[in-house]
Amino acid sequence: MTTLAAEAPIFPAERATPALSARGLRKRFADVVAADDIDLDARNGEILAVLGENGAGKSTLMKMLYGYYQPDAGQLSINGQHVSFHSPSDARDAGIGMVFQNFTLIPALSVVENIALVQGGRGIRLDRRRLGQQITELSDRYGLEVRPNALARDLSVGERQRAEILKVLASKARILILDEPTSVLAPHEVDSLLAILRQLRDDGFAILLITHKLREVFACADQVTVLRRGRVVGGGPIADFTHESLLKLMLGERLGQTEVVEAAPALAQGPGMQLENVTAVGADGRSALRDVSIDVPAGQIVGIAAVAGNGQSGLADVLIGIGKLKAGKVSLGGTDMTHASPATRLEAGLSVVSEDPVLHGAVGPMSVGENFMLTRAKVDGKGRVLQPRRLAAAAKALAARSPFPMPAITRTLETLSGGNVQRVVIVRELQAHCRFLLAYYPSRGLDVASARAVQQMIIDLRDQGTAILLVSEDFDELQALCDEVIVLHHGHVVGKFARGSVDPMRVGHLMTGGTEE
Amino acid sequence: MNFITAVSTGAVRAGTSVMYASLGEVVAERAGIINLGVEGCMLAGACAGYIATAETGSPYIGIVAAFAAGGLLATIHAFLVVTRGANQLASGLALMFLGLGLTAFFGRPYVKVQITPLKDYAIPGLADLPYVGPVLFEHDVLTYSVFPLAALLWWFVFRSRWGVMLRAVGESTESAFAAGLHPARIQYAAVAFGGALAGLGGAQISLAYTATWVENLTQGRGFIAVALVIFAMWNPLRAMAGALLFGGAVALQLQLQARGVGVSPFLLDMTPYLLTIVVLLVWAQRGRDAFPAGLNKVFRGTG
Amino acid sequence: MTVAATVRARFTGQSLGNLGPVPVSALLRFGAAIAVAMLAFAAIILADGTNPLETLRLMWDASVGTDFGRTEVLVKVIPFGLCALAVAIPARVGLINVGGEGQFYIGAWAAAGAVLYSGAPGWALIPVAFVAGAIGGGAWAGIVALLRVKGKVNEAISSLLLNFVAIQFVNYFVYGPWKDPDGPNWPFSPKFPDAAMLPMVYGDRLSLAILFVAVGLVALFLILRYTRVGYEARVVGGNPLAAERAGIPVGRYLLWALIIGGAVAGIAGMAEVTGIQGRLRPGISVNYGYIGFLAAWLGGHRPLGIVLACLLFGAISVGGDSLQIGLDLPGSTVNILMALILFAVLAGRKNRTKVGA
Repeated sequence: MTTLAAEAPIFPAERATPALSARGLRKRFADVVAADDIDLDARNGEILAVLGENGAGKSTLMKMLYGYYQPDAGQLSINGQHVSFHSPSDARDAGIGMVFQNFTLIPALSVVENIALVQGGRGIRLDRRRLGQQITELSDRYGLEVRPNALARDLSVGERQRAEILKVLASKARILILDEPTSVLAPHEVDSLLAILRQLRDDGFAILLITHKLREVFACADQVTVLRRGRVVGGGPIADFTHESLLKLMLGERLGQTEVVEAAPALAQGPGMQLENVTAVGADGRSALRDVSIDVPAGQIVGIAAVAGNGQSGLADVLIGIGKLKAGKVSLGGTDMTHASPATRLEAGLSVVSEDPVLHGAVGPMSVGENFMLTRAKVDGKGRVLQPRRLAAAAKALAARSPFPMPAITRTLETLSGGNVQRVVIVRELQAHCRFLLAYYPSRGLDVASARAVQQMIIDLRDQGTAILLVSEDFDELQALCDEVIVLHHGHVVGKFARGSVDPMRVGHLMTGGTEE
Repeated sequence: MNFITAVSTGAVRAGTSVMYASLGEVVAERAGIINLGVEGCMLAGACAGYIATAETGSPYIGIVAAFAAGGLLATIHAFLVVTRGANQLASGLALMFLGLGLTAFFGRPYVKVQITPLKDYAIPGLADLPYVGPVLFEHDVLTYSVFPLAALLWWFVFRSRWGVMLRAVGESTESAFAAGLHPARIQYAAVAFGGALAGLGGAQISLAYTATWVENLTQGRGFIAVALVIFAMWNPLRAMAGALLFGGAVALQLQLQARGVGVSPFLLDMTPYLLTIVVLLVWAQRGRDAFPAGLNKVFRGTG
Repeated sequence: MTVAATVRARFTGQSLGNLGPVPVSALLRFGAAIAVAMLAFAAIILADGTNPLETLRLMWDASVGTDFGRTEVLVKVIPFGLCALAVAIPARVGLINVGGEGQFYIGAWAAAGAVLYSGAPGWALIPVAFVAGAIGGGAWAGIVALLRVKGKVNEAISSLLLNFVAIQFVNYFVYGPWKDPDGPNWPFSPKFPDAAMLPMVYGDRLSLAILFVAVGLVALFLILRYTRVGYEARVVGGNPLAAERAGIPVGRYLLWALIIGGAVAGIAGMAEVTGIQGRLRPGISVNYGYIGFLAAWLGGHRPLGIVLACLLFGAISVGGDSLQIGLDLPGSTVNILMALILFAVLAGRKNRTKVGA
C-alpha cells in the first residue's frame, strides 16, 4: 500500500553525503550580483538555518535551489549526485519541497482536494476517505493539525501553513525548504511550527529554514549559514554561536562609510507630523499599528527602522487617510487631520513616496509627464481646464531640475524599470512645497550617485522646514540622516534612539524581535 | 389536463433546452472561461441537427450533428481565449453573431422543410400516474436524458478527481500548472464540451419542442443560460432548478394566455434575474467571491 | 509649427496618456484583419453555392454606393455609436458595462412615457423625451453603479442580468397598461404625436440624433484630454489604488461614469422611438447594446476608433439589409462577416503570455 508521503530516510544517515549540497553558486542580475560563490550543505536529520537580512540574497539562493533560477555558475548535488534544475518541476521530482510565504493552496478547494491535485495518479474517481485517512496519519505523526475537508480559504493562517507542509510531504519531498515561515504567525503558532519541524527532522528529513529571526534559529536549528550581501560570511553548528556573534555576522562591521551624505543636526521648527496612540489596520487588512506614538517636528528627520511587514506600511495608510483607524489621533502642522480626506491632507502639503511606488504611486498606462501631475494637481490649483502643451512644458522643467537622469516625459510609465519609476515618484514628491514627507526606502534600487542625490534632496527639504519620516533598512542612511530613529516590531514601537546613539547592533536586535536590555 | 399539470409539463419541455446549455456553460465557467456565445452554439446545434435530420431522415443522426456543431463553434472561442489570450466577453459576443449568421444563411433552404421529429416516449406504467405521469414520463429522449446528465455533472464537478482538476484550473491556472496539470487542454475540453451541450439544447428545440427551423430559433435562450449559470452559483443541480423555473415561466405564460387571464407573466420572468442579483449582493457583503476565481480576469477587465 | 508637422508629430505615437492616436502599424494590421475576414466570408458564401463576388458587390453598392445607402449607414451609426459610448465612458474608469441593451430599453420606455403621458406642450415634447430617456438609462445604470460601489457586486454581471429585466419591463408595459387601445391588439404603444418625433436632417430616416453621436464623441475627446475631470477619470481607470492615494474620490468617478454611460444608452433608446419607430414596442433593439460593446472594444474606447468601428458595422449592417431583396439571402448573413472581422482582430492581438499553453 502506498503511503501519502515519502519514506523517511533511514536514520542515522552518513554524515559524509548531504541530502542537498551547493558549491560556488552565483547569480547576477543586470549590474547586481545577488549571490556570489555560495556553498551550502543540508543533511538528513538536520535543520539548517539560512540567516541574513533582507536583501542579503536568501531569496535568490532559494530560487536557485528550487529551480526558478538557473545559477550562472556553481553546482548543485542531491545525495552526492550532480543535478541541474530547469524548472520547479525538476526540483520537485528530485524530492525538494518548498513552502512559500505566499501560500499556493487553491482557496476554493478543500485541503483534501488540494492535496489530491499534487498527488498525480489517474482515474476519474477520487477516494476521499482513503486520502483523508492518510492525511490524518501524517497530521497525527507530525502535529500538523488541519481539518481535511475545510476549504483552504476558511483556514486560519497557521492551519494554512500546516496544510502547505502536508501538501509538500504528499508530493514525496524529502528535502524541505521553508521561506520565512514564521513571519505570518502569531507567537504561539510559531512554537507549534518549530515543534513540527523538530519532529520532521527527527524522522530524518533534511530541512532548510530561511529566516532573519535569531530566536527561532536558536530554538530549533542544528546548523547555520549566514549570508550578507550575497555571500556566505560564516556558518557551522549552532552550538558554536551566540546571539551576539550571529548578529555581528549578519550586519557586518560598520566602519565610517562614505556612501551616505552627512547631515548636520537640525533644530525642531514647530509642529510637523504627529501620531498619538494610533491603532490601525492597514488597507490590506493586515499590516497594523498598535498604540503607536510618533512625533516628527518640522525641520527634522525621524527614521523608522523595521523589516518589511512590521507595520510601517500601515503608516502610509494612516497618514494619507485610507484604511481603518481604530484609535488615536493624526495631526499635520498642529491641525487635527484624523478625519480629513486624503485630498485635504495632500492639499495641506503631505507627500508620500510609497513602499511600492509601482502599485500605489504611479499610473502605468500614462506617460511620465502625466504621472508628474498626479499628486500635484490639487496643489497647483490650475482649475478645471488643462492645457496639455503647458503641462508638458512644466513636466519637462521639473525633470530638468532633477539631480539624476530622468526618462523622457513622453515615455509610458509601464515601460520603465522599477528604478526609473522610483525616480519619477521621488522627483514628484520631493518638491519644494511639500511640508510633510513620508518616504519609504527612497534610495532603494538606485545607484550610488542617485542615492546620494536623493539623500541630499531630503536634507535640503529638512533645512527648509519639512517634517520628514524616513523608513529605511539601511543603517548607514538612518545613522547619517536622522535626528531620531524609531524601531517598529509587529506594529509596536519597541525602541527610540536619538541622533548619535544609533547602534546598529541594538537596532538590529530590536528589529529581529529581541528585547531592550 | 389540469392547470398545474399543464404548466409543469410545459416547464419541463421548455426548460430542457436551456438546461442543456446551462449545464454546459457551468462546466466551461468552472474552468475559468465564460462564453457569451452560447446562443450561437445553441443555434448551430439546432440548425445542424435539423439539416442532418432532413437529409438523413433520422433525428438521432441529427442529435449527433448538433453535438458536433455546438462543440466545433465553441472551440473557436476556446482558441481565441486560451491560445491567443483574447478578451472573453468580446470573443463570446462575436461567436453569438457568427452563430446567428451562419445558421440563418445555411438554414434558409430548410425553413419550409418538414422532418421526422424526436418522438415522445411514454414510459409504460409510470406515464399513467395521475398528475406526475405526464409531467415526468412522457417526453422525448433528449428531455429524458438531461436530468440524469445534471446529476452526473454534479458528481463530476464536485466529487470526482477530474472535477477537482477542472475546478483547480478555474480557480488559478498558475497553481494548476504548478501542480502539474495542463490548464490549456482542460480549458479547451471544458469550453468545447459546453458548446456541445448547448448544441444538444438547440437540437431539443428544433427536433422535439417545435420540430421546425427558422432563423433565430432560440430567441435568446443562450443568453438566459449564461444568466442562469450565475443564478445557479456554478452548481449543475441548481442550474437544473433554474432552467425549470425559466421553463415554468414560459409555460405559465402560454397557459395564462390560452385561458385569457390578464396577469402579466413578464413580471414573473424577471424574478430569476432579480433573485440572482440579490444573492450576489449578499455574497459580496460576506467578502466572498462566489465565482471561480479564474473568472476574475474577465470581470476585473484584464481578460 | 506647421499643421503638417503637428499632425506628423502626433502620429509618431507621442502619448498624452492613453489618448494618443493609434500608430500606423496597428492600422495596417487592422486592414489585414478585414481582408482576411472578407476572404473567409467569401469562402463560406461560396461553400453554399452562392456567388461571393455578387454578394459583396451588392453589399457594397447598397451601403456605400448609393446616397440612400450612405444615409442608412449613418442611421445605424446612431444606435451603434451611442451604445458604444455607453460602454466606452465606463471603460475609461475601468468598468465593464454590458448593460447597454437594458439601458437602451429603459431610456426608450421613459421617453415614450414622457411623450404619451407627461402632458407637456407640443414644442416641449422632444426636450422632455430627451431628458426622460437620459434619466431612464442613467437610473438603470445607476442601479448597477450602486451595486458595484456600495455593494461590491461586479458590474459586468449585474448589468448583463438587468438587460433581461429591462426587456421584460418594457414587455409588461406594451402588453399591458400602455397597449394601444385603438390598435389591433398588438403589443404596441399608441403612436407618438408628430411633435414628438425628431426632425430629420437628411432624407426621411436620418434624424437629429446623429448630432447626439457627434456631440457625444467630441465631448468625450475634449473632456478626457483637456479637463481635470477627464484626467482624474483616466487615473482611476489606470490605477485605482494610486488614484485613491492621490486624493481622487474613486467611488464617485465609478458611480458617475456608469450613470452617464447609461444615460447615453438611454438617449439612444429615445432616439430610436422618437426618430424611427414612432411608438414603443418589443424588440426595438436588435442587439444594439452588444454591437455597441464590440464597437467600443474594437475602437479601443477612443472616439476616433469608435467612429470607425461604428461606420464599419453600420456599412455591414446596411449591406445585410440589401441581401434579402437583392439575392434572397437572410439579412443576418452579414453577421458572419462581422464576427469574422472580430475574430481576425482578436486572434491577431498580442496578448499576455499564457500559462502552460
